Amino acid sequence: MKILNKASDLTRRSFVTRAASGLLGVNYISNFASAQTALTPKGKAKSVIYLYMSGGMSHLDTFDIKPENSEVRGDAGELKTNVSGMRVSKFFPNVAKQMDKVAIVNSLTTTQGAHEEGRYVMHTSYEKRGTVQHPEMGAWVSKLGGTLSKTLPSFVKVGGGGRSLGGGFFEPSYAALPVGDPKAGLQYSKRHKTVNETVFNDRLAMLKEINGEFKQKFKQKSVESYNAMYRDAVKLMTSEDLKAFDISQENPKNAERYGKNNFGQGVLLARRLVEKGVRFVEVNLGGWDNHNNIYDGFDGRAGTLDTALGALLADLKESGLIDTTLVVLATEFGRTPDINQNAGRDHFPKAFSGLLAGGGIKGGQVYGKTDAEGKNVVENKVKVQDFNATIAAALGLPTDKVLMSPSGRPFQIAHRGKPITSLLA
Amino acid sequence: MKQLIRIILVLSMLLGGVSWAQSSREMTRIIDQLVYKKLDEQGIALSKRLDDEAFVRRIYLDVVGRIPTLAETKTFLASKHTRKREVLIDKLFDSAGYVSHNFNYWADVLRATTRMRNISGQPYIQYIKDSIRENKPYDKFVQELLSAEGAIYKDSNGATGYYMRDAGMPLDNMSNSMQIFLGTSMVCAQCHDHPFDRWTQMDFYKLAAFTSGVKANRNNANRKDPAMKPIFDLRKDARSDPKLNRTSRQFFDVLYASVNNNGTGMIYLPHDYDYEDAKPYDVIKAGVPYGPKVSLSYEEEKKSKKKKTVRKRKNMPAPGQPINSRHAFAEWVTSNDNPMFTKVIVNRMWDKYMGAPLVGPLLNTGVKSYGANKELTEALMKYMQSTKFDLREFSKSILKSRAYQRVAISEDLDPKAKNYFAGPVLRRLTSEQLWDSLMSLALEDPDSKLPKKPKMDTRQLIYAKHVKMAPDKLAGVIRDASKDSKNYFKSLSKEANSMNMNTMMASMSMTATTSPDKQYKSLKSEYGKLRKQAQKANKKGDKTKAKKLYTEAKLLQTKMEEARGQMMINNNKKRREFVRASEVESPARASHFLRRFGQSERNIIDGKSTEASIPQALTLLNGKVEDYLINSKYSIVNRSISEGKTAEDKVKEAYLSILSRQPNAKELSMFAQRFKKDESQASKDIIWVLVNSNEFLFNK
Repeated sequence: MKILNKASDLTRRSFVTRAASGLLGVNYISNFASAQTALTPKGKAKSVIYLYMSGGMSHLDTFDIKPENSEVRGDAGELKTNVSGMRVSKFFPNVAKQMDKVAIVNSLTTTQGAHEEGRYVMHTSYEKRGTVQHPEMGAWVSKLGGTLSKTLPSFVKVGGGGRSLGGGFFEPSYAALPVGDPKAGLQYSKRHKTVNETVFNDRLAMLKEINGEFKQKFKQKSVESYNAMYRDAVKLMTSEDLKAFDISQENPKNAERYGKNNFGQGVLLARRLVEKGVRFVEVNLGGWDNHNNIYDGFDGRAGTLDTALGALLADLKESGLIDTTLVVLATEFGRTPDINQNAGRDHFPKAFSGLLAGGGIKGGQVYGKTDAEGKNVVENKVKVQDFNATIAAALGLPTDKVLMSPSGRPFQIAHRGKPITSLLA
Repeated sequence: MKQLIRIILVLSMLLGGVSWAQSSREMTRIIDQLVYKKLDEQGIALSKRLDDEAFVRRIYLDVVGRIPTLAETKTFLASKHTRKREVLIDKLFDSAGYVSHNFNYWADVLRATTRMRNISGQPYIQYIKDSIRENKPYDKFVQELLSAEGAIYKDSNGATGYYMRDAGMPLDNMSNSMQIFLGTSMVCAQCHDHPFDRWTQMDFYKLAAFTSGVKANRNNANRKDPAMKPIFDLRKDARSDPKLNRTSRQFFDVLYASVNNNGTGMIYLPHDYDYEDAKPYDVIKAGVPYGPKVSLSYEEEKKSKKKKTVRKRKNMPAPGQPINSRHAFAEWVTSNDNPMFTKVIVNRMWDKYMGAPLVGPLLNTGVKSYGANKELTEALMKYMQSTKFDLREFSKSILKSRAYQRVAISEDLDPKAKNYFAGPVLRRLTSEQLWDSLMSLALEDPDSKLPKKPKMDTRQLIYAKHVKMAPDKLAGVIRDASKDSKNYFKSLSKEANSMNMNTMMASMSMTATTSPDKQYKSLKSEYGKLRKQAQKANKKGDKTKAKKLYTEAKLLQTKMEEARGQMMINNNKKRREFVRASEVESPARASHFLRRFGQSERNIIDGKSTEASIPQALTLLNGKVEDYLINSKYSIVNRSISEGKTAEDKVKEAYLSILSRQPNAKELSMFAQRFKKDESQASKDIIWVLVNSNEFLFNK
């Protein structure tokens, strides 16, 4: 990693290194560790479950419905919620029952109308550039806020979501740990099925023996850190916290409530991880790029979201974690109010919707407003950067803190976004 | 003795003076002289000389990007040739593995990805591979990248990917060019004067003027051309016809994706320009911050009667007409008189092989810096120019030196201290080296699947077939194709495949024999027949005949088993995931082994990481190594171990396969004991232990 200053090598430690070092009491690592254990101010969230709707979720068919306008309302219908005056589209019966915890933001606006660029700015608050890779919110949160768990990573991405691991120019340790299939859990954290415990331990003993000489010859930190990593990996394999990754531990009936699909199970996994102290879990749901025949299958897609999000909010409430867990629903842009000749809606960056719920957020409100067509924001415009600043503020993180990239350029968690105070608890 | 050699070396140098190298051999001698001289001055002890075993491992890793196979190691160790190291180095530089390994390196530098926004990066990737394969002089390579123009699918025009990669971000592209090729970091000056360097925003905009006007776009069809009307009509229709839309895109993204405008040589200053030497929206002409001056001949501006007023806004198009200023820029960058170009590539190549830069940080090298060994830097620069930027010749001069052929420095270097190169720096294998080394343990010849020639793909075929077609006819073809696009593209891909097959077959025809599958099948059926006949004879009571037939069958059975083994080995080789890293998409998917071990996302220059993490350890402890190498009877490492006659032999085969060396006495007795106890378990364990060992992970 040539772009990083060599001098910073000492502080560049894997997330799990830092984490596991506590568990193991590996002191030499904690000497270099930069992260502090998170101190969360009262009334603020500790962790984030970030649900990303990939493709551009139609605001008019979800949370900014226009039932009075036959030109643009499409097939969205209308549902009352458990908060009087708040309504959602007919596709969200479960979420409708949880709206007291949710703030709908109907005045989001972005400058990016293409998927990749839109996704990038939503995740990082910066426009995509050719000379720097900006860290995503998940990386910023662990960088500024520190870690909560001694054994688990602090940033996890579940399912799809492109090739990026989101660490940007931060040290590699801030990148997300990817989990492809929520049912498979943390990859390779169990012994290979053909290796029993005796064989495994026997091999470890041999490995230690073999490594002795090399370690003697090359007394270098990079070698040392691999040996520490192996010890930590082995400890992790038998750690209690690892069970957080195993959704089969969940009561099957409860697991079903999230929906028997990758997204639903991913959201379930996210909840389990957050319970054990993972800071930021992103779960992706694709299929929102409805240029053609938007209502063919929209109920299925929205239903997947509704089932999972409804169950998540109910469970968080039940366990009390709703006070410390911020749930975010985000997407790259909205979709055109006019239904096109292919019975679809096209990209619409000018106005769209997102949700903020739970920890640090004042729920039961709709913030911002579009005009009768859903075309222009007419009240309380929220830029992507403001939305992300609000997430930071809900976590009690400083939005004005400036961090330098390796080339010496200044960056902030939400660019220069302003937190929306009336959304904050 | 060693001391004596050094004294002689230093003496000879003092007496003879350092001359400029005319050949790689001479350069090698000068490298050694100058490195030793500095070490001597500083009173630093040299690292130990690499023995043959360590050498063969390192040289394969550094030149072809993987550990040597068992056969390669044995051949080298057994060779009695007096200059066997040099012979091997020369051979490796001419191999397909060299192309593969260097592609990974340059893909990191040039951020070559399989998908670039909405366009395929394949032509770019292909271009980089081809350039390495034909050993294109480095200065020519850079010139081609910087002045590339035209359709990206035009034959051998993949260099256009360099601008396509940063489509819509020409200023960022300029910052990147200055960093990659000239080690000059001006990215701050894009928006304001550099806070701690001498570059001003004006310096930057003068440079940006060279590439001003460049249009990298997937849809550069010319709307003004009346002949193109059928195409634009079709596009209009496609808006209400999703099928036509999808199909036409597949055509247009290939036929009309191009880099246009070779540079106008002038640019508007940004709306927020805030210095006294000029005003926002002023037109600035191209100029360079150092090195030889560049003069451009601008077209005389047409004097129109009406004075054109420019509407001021952000992101204004370039003023002026294309005058090929990009070409002038490329000439300036690559000029022998440019103070940075040669120095930066020398620095980069030294870093590549020695593990640390000679002059300074690769992307911020400094116009005035020459590093801790200025004499050496200058000698290498001279030599680089005298080879006319032949990176293979240049690299060989480093690799053949005694300075390189030393054990890696054993202690951590103080990052602030100067490095005098008592030896190369210990490095963890890159993710690609690690993956490719696993391939060397899985396959007998891990490089045999590397393409020896550019491969045809469907998009290239679309381009070749339709580029010269008249627009009205083309529109008809697209409309027809859209009716059954699935089959249309399927048959195209078949056609491309068969073209690839033909070239493959042609290259294989010398060695082509019956495929192992067929051979096994025919032996099996023959065997079955014999058995049946024997049974018949038995029933008839013809014991002699039956016995004879059974014996024949038995003989055949051995052959059949052999054929079956061959077939399984062949099947193992055919596994789709068993390809070298350079043939996996770039970058690999997020959960791929390569990414886990720090492969660059190829979004920023040199973005790879070799840092340790727990997921990496888990992957080696419990992951696919078990399936790929240990549980597969047909992995080459498993077969090699099983061929060892005694327990000791087996241990030696394992060590030579995985660590390219003989086990020491302690290691030998420890594992031999285990083989004597339980051969099958010991064989599994030894592979696991050695692949997980520090020694395997590091290039020492």
